[in-house]
Amino acid sequence: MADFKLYPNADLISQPIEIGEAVLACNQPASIFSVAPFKGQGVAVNDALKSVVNFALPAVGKVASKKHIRAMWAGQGQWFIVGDIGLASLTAALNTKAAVTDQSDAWVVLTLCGADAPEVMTRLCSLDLSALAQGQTARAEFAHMMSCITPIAGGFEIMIMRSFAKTAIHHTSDSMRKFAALRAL
Amino acid sequence: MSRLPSGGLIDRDVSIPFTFDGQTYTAHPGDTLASALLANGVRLMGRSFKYHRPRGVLTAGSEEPNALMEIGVGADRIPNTRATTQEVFNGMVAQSQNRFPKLQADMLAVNDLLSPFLGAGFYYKTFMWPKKFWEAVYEPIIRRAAGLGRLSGHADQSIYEKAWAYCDVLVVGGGPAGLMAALTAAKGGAKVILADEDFVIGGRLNSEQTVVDGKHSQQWAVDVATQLEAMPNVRVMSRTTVTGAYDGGTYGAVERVADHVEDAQGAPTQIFWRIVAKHTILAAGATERPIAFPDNDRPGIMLASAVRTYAHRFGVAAGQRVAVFTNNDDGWRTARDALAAGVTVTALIDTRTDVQPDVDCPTFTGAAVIGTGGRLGIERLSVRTSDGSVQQINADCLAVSGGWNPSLHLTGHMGGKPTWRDDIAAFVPTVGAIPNLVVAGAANGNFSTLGALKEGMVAAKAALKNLGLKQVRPKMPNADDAQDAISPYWHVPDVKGRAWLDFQNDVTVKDIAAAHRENFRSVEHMKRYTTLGMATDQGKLSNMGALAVMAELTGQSIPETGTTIFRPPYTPVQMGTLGAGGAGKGFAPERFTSSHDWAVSRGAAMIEVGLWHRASWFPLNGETHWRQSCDREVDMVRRAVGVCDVSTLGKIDIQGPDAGVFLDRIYTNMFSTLKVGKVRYGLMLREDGMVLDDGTTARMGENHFVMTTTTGAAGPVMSHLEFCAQCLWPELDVKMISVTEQWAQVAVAGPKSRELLAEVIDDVSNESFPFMGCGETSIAGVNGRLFRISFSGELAYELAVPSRYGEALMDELVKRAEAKGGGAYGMEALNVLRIEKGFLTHAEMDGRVTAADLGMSGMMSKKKDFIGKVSSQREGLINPMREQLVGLKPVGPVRQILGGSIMVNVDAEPTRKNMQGHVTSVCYSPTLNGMIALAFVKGGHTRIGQTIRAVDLLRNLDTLVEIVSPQFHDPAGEKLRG
Repeated sequence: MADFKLYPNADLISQPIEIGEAVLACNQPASIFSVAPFKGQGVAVNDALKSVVNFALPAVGKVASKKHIRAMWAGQGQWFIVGDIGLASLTAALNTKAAVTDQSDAWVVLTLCGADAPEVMTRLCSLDLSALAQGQTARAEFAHMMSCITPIAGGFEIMIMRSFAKTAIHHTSDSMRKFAALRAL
Repeated sequence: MSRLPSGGLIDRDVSIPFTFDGQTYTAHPGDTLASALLANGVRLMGRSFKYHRPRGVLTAGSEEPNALMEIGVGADRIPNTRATTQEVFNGMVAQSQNRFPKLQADMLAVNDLLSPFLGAGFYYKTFMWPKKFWEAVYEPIIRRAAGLGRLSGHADQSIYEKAWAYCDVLVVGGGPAGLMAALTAAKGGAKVILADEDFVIGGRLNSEQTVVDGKHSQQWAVDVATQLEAMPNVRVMSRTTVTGAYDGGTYGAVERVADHVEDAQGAPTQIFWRIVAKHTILAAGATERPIAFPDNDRPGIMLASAVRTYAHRFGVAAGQRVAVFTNNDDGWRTARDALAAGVTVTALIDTRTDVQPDVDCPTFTGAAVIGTGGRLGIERLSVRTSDGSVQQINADCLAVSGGWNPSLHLTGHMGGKPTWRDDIAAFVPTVGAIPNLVVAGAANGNFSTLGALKEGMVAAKAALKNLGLKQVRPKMPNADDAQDAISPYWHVPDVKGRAWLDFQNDVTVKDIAAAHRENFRSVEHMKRYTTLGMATDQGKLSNMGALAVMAELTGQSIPETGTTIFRPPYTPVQMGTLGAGGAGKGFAPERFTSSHDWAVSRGAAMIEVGLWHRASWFPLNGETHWRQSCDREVDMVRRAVGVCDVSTLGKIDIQGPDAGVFLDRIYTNMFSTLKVGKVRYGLMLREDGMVLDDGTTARMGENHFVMTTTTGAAGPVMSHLEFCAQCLWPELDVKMISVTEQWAQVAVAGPKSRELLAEVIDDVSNESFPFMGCGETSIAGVNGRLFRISFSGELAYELAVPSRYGEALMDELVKRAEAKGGGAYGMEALNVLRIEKGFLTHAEMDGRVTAADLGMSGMMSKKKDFIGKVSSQREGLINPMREQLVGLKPVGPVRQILGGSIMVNVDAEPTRKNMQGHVTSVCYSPTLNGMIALAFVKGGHTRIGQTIRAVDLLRNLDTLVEIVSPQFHDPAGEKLRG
């Protein structure tokens, strides 16, 4: 066996992109796992989760969190557990109760913050994001791509599939530039 | 100069230079191009569409049919811009259009002399013979002669954007009704959007000398707009035209962000908005309509309301000797205002007999204008007085008022028909035409200022009530409550000469009569026959007049005659704006593998596969043609080892107690019996029995499978599985999720693949990973998955690691492969390898083939049911003479085969009727030293060894080929099992 190391890819955004009154950054969590409870296992899954992360799966369209770990609704019968938690402990707790997959490398987590963020988002996402309160999350189209949009302090978190991330960064920074230019008129 | 000494919403301290047809003029901030030209004494602004008649500005708003300009130069030149809405900016270049060589002397004005031959429908009758001349001769000439502005011929460099907005109350129009509605709704706490197409909020309040709430109406509008802009729950969108009403309270709107500035500096010029509103208040006002009389199109003849707008808003006198022609009291106001501004009023002509205008000028009641004269602009007019005598009047401006048409267009966008009101001789919107839309003010036929203010407030209060918000009682301002009396008068009867109805498309009263005579009597037929209302102004000024004429001719009332249908957009929208966000990279998202940058750094030629960008081949030094690289890469895999990023293939994680049963129903073959640690090739059909996709599925655990789909079908297969799980078999306990993005997957193929992998992975022995074996593994401390599968026919593996390591893994494996005489290979080589082996892609599975066509009947399980099973046994699908998958190789002197060629028998003509099939995939096979192909041939499975022809009529190639088995390479499969 040869001795070598596999280095992870460089981050898509090394330095936050600041244009006008908006900042686009990458805020990649340690891990993302999908959890989909099997039939009739909802209660059991919640009980097991409480013992591991101290909270139950949130309702549809909601986010639950404790100590840097959160669970977010991610689609029909499906949630993402996001944060610093190991796959082994999660699968052990949820074994036979839910389908668990590692999605840590499947999603890039971007944040768009600043005073211009809401206006920039209106160019990229067709949802009424002013109606999306803290603690809520939505699956939505973002510049023609699938995403999870979650309001955070001072802006929005945009989860985008990894292969689309470059396109998302391009379109977001493009909209930031256009909006900054528009405000300068 | 026609600028009045004072007044108007313009900044007289600042002068802006601009050019019109090469001549430099100056304007002031607040001017439109039309007001600036009038202020500079320019009356002639365009030539008409068909007859090239000289035309001047007719209106002061977006309904303008005549004063259309080309604005800008080069790629930035925008044709057909209405001078009445275009704000002047520093250095603006404006040009008149549809004239040659110049506006003052247009050679094509000869059309006007030929007008007796060019009436409505002339080309339907004239250019019948010879038939083939239509496209080659007549049409190009007509198109050249008749027309609007020119396209620049360059790619549009402007920046456009799209955006979404949501509100409780959308107020369309910022006149008295709109302002009052917005103020009331905003004070009640509603989230309000006030959109107005003008760059100054206020509507007619800016155009009249009237008092609201004790102050000049212009000041009142400024005060309310300022108040609204300061409220956090209000968005005031000026320069924004609401163009269409759509389902679910959605409205299209165009915001002209930077059309009024010299340099947008990176800002979008226009934004296309989708505004979603819970309630909408349409307060779009009304447009004045002209009266048709002979030669009513001479420059200097304008709508009376426009004359007042130019005077009060822009401080411009439209003429020095003004005459007024009216059928309503509103015309009198124009005469009074002109007198007050110190302009001579040479005549007030009122069609009504029972009125006594209280205006200090020569007045004629029961009279009509029957003609006008003057070169390139009006100088005099002929008036037929009540006793039948004719008087000549001098005037350089004739203000015409035929009454007002409520701007109800949006209410027609969902099929609603308007309602006729006799008292105002106009159509008004029908209640409920658009759900949750209420009309207020002049748009609703309430033409008094006070009435508009009141209706705006009432509409907003109703909206607040429906929204469950607090009821407010803003102070109702005092204002003029006069409703002008009117008696309908559409065109001057019993006169000779052409009386224009549609100024933009050159349609006269006579043309309507001609349409009627030739039995085009329905309004829809009349419209299309005469082209009335079909120009860029969509008949805003002309439709009513034409309806009235048609009603007279048919002896019906106007409401019986009906209206044509209003469709979006309300005003013309640039294609760039409609397509905002769809150009360049906005056309489609790009998907990149984690080894993308690495591949590019190695000089790989990239190819798009679906949205993915994949390496097509990796050229080495000295290779100048893709075939050189491709042949080398194929040879490398067949002799040593090749490495290829196959991450783009769809990967679907399927878990649950019923996962096995679920897959049995999805695939034609059995999966519930697959052992843990094994992979099986599967075929799935659509409900109609045709092949949907193929791929391998690995059983990672008792209740855990990982399905692989083709790159292109990853999405469709995922939705197919979801549909089956959610709708067909909700009783099955199975969960699925895409893990395509989670795993970077690398194919390692070739006789030395095991040797290579043994360097980086603990155990890749045939015992641990036999052919079609799979399992967890670890590489350099990173957990991965290893699958012993082959898409090349060689001993091969696919190794998956979390995506973040995709680049490092490719780099590491390729370096090691190169040390063994191998290296990276791309899509071209991958394709050659699979064609040599007879493996399928969607070139073969094109949605029209069955499993039997592909020679895979054996994969159709008899022990179970599966999607598509019943349909696949339909008579037409089991016909042995269906086109079936075969291989082809050249046997004649021509050694080339082209993809897409049709198959015909050796002695047959290459015609559709003789078609025996078609070629789906071709390649040069370095392994077999010649071209080979996959094809579908009628009854092909029983025709192995026969000779047939592959013919490409487009590229002129006719190749004699032998039908062979599609497995060209290692048909026994010894290599991949090795």
